[in-house]
Amino acid sequence: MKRLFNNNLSKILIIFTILYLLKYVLPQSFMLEVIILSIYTMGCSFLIGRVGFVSFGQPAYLAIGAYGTAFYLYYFGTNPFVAILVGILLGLIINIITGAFFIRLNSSYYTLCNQAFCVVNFFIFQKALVKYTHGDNGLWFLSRIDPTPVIDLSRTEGVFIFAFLVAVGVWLLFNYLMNHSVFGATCLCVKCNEEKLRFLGYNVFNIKWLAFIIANTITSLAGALYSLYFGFVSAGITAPSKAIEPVAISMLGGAGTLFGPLVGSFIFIGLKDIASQVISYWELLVGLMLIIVMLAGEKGIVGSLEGFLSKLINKHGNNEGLQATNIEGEVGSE
Amino acid sequence: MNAHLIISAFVLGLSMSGVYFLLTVGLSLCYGLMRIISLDQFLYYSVGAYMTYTIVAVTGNFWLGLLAGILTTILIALFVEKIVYKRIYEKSVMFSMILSFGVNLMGVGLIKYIWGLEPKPVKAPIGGNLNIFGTEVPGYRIFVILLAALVYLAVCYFLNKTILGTAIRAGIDDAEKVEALGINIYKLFTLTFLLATSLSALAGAIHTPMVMVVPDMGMNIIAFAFMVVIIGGLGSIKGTLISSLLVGQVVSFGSLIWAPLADMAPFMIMIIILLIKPTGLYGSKYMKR
Amino acid sequence: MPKNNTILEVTNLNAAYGQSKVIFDINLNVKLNERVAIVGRNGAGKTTMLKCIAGLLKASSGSVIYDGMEIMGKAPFEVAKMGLKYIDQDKEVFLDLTVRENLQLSSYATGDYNWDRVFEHFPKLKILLDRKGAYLSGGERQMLMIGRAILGDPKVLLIDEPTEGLAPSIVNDLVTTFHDLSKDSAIIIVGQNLSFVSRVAQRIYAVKEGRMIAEIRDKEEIKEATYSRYL
Repeated sequence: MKRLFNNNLSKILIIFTILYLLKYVLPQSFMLEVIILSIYTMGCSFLIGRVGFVSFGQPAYLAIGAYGTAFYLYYFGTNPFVAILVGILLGLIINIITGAFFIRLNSSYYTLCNQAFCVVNFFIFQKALVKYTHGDNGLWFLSRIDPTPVIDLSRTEGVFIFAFLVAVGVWLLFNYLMNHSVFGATCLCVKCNEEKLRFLGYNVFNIKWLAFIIANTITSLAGALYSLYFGFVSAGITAPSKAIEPVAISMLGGAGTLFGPLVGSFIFIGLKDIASQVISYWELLVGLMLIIVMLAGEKGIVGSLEGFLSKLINKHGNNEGLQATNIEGEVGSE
Repeated sequence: MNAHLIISAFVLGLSMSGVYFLLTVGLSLCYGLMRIISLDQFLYYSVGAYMTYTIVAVTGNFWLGLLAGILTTILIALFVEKIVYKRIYEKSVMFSMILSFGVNLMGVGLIKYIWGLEPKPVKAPIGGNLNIFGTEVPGYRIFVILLAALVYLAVCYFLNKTILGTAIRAGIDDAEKVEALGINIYKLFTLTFLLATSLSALAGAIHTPMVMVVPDMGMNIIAFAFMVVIIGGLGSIKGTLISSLLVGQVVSFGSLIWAPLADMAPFMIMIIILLIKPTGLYGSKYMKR
Repeated sequence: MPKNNTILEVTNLNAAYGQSKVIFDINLNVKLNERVAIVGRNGAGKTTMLKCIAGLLKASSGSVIYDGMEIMGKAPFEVAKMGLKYIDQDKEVFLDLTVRENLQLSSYATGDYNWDRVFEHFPKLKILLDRKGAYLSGGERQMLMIGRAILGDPKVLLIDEPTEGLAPSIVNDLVTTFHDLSKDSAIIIVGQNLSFVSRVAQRIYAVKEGRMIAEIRDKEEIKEATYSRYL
């Protein structure tokens, strides 16, 4: 039992098995949304918790992936796999370029610039490219998606399985990045003390750039999945008022923790579904949630639970998770 | 493009600069003194606008509305400062950004709840046109420009000639030493925050005749405000003034050339300036913290 | 009046940065008009100690009694207003402010607008009134920092590394100044410049690794700086 919980790989396995089984209890559309949203949040959470970059512009990267996929399916081809690839590639290219600009800024400028980037993206998709994007009316291409062998992406069932597998892959990747690679460790150093890392002889620019590219390309991937799932993309996807959502979910789940985005997304969408029947102004709840989470301490649900659980389960095992959250706690209160 | 078009675009640009300046000078001051980025200023901007609309609808007096807007936001800001900011002054900038965005979002939700979603128009209190070099320019725009200039002078006077302003300038330099002298720095924080808030509310109120009052108006202006602060450099009043003048003209002339350019051109300028100077034109050296 | 003129009494002061403890059970007391020095190596916890006394850092336990009143847990500005002033070691006055504005701020905080006493100790400041802090020399900055601190008649001055980075001639002047200042208030200096400490202090506390290891009262020992063996 102890060993099982010490190993992050088995944790991933267990949690995703539970997630898959939940499909039979909860509506599939709900689970699908949770999975895609958590992939979306993963990049943001990694940047906040492990690199120290808070971005209010994540929808921009989401939209780029979504529109890449949508353009391909609407104008060029019908193969959904190729479409996803196009979305990721477009995201990758744009992230490499924008990353080189944004990474040079300090953290508060980074946040504000990203928000500005998000708004500009919104205007580009809504007004400047209205000929191609149809602005707020959006592109509809659900009927153009070809049935594919093995996993049929033209049906929601297929999209669910595909998104599920992608999510497992993303989690394995981030588990490796965060806990088992030098790169992850250097990222954490960027957050704590960039100057010292530079003295050690690392190229901080490259580390930040790579972190930015990885995190935001994953975000673009989530955008591609969204676009495939809905079969529809409009400029609303990058609306500035949605910019805070991934940050809010990251903070709710616990920024920089492996499972924070999953837990956060689950609660967030659950709340949204329940609350939308009671209260029509969603912003009110997100704002309130954000204030409570931030004032209660920045660790989030998983961050708080992790320390508690690892104390409970292994009294004298390795407490990796605990250490990680401790470091963040100190930095936050600096 | 003829001369009339250029003059009216120039005046429009100046009046937008005025609104941007009023909105961002508080943001900049708050960052300088307290090292917080107070994104809830955009909420106070919307509240200022909505209160003006409400009072104008009831009494028909614009100036009364303006005053009510400022007073209401000061009350809200006092509350927010007590509940939220008092707890995070010691913490990193990231905290204040996320938290204040939360406050902002909650406020937008409340505005939608109270005033509904439909756009509300407000009539300009100063009608008539002014003739500048043969071009008819709405008098209200000139009024906005003059008001912003007056506020700039007043803020400069306050910071340079009064003892509290001196304390604020000293605090921008080193807050701990101000406290070691025996001055209650938290009172200064509250004062600065309220000053920023009332300027934001003023910006919202005087902006009402130029735009429609909608719940997302704070969100709509947010990108421009950010661009202004970033181009000018956080924490610098002079930088804020210059960059708001710049952005105002870019938006105005941009929309003259091609409508979508109004939104994109400032962003491109921001990117170019950041490439040359990553802290903005007048960014302070204290940016590291 | 507190017993035998003690103006400042610190008992069992402990402080920590996060998890790591920096100072342990510090006890010290200072009488009115006394000049006390705290010596110790870099990182011994001297500055932490002063900042804790002045309220600028939060001590984890202990008590600080100033003028018969407990001041632990009070905000730094309240402590300063009561007449216990801390003078930082970094010699940074407000760069954007003139000397006049620096003094005005201190007057505003303490309600004491009588600058004659400042000019009595530091006549040079009178000439520099309209110069900005950024253009002052190190010695002038130190004068200004002490000058603005003595407004409001403080009873205790905590002065951190007063001689660091100053020219020898200015250091000589400071010795006289400190003797003069102690006619009105108690002075605690923290320093590593032993010859300066020997000429100023009447009593010396030696600090090592966060603990008070010796108190030197012997005049001869202070004069000969033999207390350096404690460092």
